[in-house]
Amino acid sequence: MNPQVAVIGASQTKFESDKGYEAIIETVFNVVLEAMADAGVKRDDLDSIVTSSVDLWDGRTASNQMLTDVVGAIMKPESRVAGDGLGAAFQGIMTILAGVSEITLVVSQCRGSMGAYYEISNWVFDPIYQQTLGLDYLSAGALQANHYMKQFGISQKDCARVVIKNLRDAQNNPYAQVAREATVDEVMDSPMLAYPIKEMDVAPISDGACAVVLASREKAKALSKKPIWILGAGSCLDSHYLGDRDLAGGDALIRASKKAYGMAGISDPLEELDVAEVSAAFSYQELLWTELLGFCGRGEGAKILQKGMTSLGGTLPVNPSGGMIAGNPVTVAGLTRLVEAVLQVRGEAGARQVRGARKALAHGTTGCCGQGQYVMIVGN
Amino acid sequence: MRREVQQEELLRVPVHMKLHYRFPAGAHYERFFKEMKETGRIMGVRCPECRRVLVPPRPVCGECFARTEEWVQVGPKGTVVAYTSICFSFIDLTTGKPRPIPYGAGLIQLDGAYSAINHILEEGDPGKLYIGMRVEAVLKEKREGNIGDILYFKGIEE
Repeated sequence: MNPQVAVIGASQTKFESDKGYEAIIETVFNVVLEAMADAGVKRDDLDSIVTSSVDLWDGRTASNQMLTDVVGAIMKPESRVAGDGLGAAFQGIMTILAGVSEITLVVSQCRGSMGAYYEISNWVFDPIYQQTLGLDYLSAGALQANHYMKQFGISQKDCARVVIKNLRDAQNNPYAQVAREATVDEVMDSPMLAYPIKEMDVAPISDGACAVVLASREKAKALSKKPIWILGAGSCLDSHYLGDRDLAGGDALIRASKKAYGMAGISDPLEELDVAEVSAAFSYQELLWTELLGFCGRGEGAKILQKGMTSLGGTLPVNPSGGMIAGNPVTVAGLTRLVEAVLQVRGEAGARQVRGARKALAHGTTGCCGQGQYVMIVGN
Repeated sequence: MRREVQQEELLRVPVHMKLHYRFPAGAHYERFFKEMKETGRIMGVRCPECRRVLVPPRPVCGECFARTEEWVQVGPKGTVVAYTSICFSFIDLTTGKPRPIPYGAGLIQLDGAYSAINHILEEGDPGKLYIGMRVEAVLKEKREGNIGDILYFKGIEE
């Protein structure tokens, strides 16, 4: 079947630890203007807008309301996804498939620097039982890390190599927040935060925003010289309670990716995809997600990384942008992965370009330890 | 166009939000905490379809999309299915003070339960913790009807 929706414009900000030099609305306005210019569309061309932001990160109720002016939403339909930006892209696709919109702007923004990571991620949990135990994304991630690593014999050094690859490759990414050469010893010697997760295993917290312009098949063909088609998309949600899930099992990501691969006609992702951008907030998660996405067998994520198969120049480069380890604008992370995937298949990824990339995967997660999973395949 | 970081600090307005909520615990948590307070028993609910026992108890089994009504006692012994040792400090909501670090935290599958529960582990040394470790709940003497009634889980020999 011919793909029905294309990405015709994409933009991202530089990810920084603190964008205190400008207001949120300035950041968002700039990134929206860039994406619209990239798509060659004007405000009047936008039929609807989907935003992604989270009230607790923004410190406001219904915080999308503050974006109305700068996303061009006055007298237009706008809806908000209170979660990962790739989820907003899903909603954007649906506005077009439903026939209510021909051109949809998708915008995601977060200021990680504004609030307190511990408190905000602690408030994700059940207030009556789990919050008081001190659960947050880091301590929950440590439970998942340990469970996965013990089950498949993954070492802390295996995880350290993810950090080294991503920080190294991020040197090719002008939008990255952290980029440098690092060593296994350096990661191993960084302070232990929650066993087995150390400081350098954790994505930094960033400020940033992304915007993507989606168009129907007809509009994309009429307006764009380089439409990037959404070839497949899948999303799936696991149980909320950690104790109900198999933390290393990841059935939600397996199902989401199978759905996306099915639509895109992909049977062997390792061979048929040219590049993958995955949302891993911790080093161990990149290994876990690559396994669940079917790039290798279970427990082999570290092996394919060590062989260089997921490095730039390998069989299937994973996170040539440096991924979230190089910059983590929290709820913007998934839409950033889509922007990177689009740049790759356009051949516009600069020094991080995977040569001849034609099909790319973008992955996003929402909630704790990958409760919600999004997978999108794009191609030209 | 992206701009370079300006040298001068722009105005920042510090805001401290103090929000008050009263979360209704619902009948399932109500009974869970009441049993724990009055009898020291840890209770779960059994799904009428998959027959699995969910802890903490809740009104619906998400997998079967079915109401749960049958109460069963679980634990107090159980098995560690995941663990960590927390080395970063944060304000403990129950005391308002920083919780001393490091401390152990884990997912514990109580005997008779399908789902595992999060809780504190007495052992905080990751070298001494392991998946499959047998533990038992240690309850407060004077219980108040909240999750703090379980002080922590301690390792046991069997």
